Amino acid sequence: MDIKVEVISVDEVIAVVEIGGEMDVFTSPAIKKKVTEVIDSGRRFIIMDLGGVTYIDSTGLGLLISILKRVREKEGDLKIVGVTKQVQKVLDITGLNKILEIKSNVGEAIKDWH
Amino acid sequence: MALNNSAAGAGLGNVELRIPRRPEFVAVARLTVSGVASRLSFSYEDIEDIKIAVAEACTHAIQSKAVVTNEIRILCIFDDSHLAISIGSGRGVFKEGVKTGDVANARSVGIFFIESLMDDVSYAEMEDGTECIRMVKNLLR
Repeated sequence: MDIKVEVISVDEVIAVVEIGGEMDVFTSPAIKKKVTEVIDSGRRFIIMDLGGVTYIDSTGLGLLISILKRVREKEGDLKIVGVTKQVQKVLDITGLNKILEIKSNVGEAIKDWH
Repeated sequence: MALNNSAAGAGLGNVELRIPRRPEFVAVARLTVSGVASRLSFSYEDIEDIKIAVAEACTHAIQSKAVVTNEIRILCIFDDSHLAISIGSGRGVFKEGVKTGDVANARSVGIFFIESLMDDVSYAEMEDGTECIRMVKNLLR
C-alpha cells in the first residue's frame, strides 16, 4: 500500500499524525483506522501533518472531515499542517480551507492548545 | 451521444484501459492517463487536474451501488487540441443531474471536482452501451 502513517504522541491528549503517500479511495480506510485508534486512546487534539502527501482526492478530504467530526464530538480539535500545493488546491476548490484549520507547522498548531 | 471506434479513429489516437472495479486499481488508471496527458504536452497543473478527474470518476464507479459489471473502462481519445476521457462501468453509474458540492458527501464532491477541473463534462454512451462520463481537457498552445 502506498501510504505511511506515523503517530507521534505529544502528551496524553495531543498527537501528530504524519501521512506520507497518497490519500485516495484505496489508502483512506487504513489511515482512518489508525487515526481512530489514536482518538480512541484519548488523544482528541489531532494534528494531521500532510507534508508527505503526494496526492489527495475527495475520499481523502472526506476522511479529514470525518476526523474533524470525531474529535469535535469528544470536545477536541483538528489542525492541518504541511499543506502542499496539490492539497491546497483541492481544499480551495471545495471551500474546506474555511472549515479545516491550517497551520504552517506543528509548533504553531500545538501552541494554540497550550 | 454514442462513442465508438470510428470516432476514436478520427483523432490522432486513442488509448483504452480496463481495470477491475477495485480501489487498488484507481491509481493505475490515474497514472496511465497521466502518462497519456504528458505525451500530449499538457502543463504540470493540467496533468494534476486530469489525474484528479480520472480518479474521481473511477472512485464514483467503485462506490456506486448501480453497477452490473466488475470492470471500469477508460477510453482516452486525443488530437492536437484536446484530450477526451470517457470512463464507464455498466449502466446507472453516471447519469446527468448528479448533485454536486455537498462537502459531507465524498461522491458528490468527486463529481464537483470533475466539473471544476475539466473544460467540458458530459454524460454519454460507449459503443457497447456502457454509460460513461466524458471529460475533456483542452490543450492550450
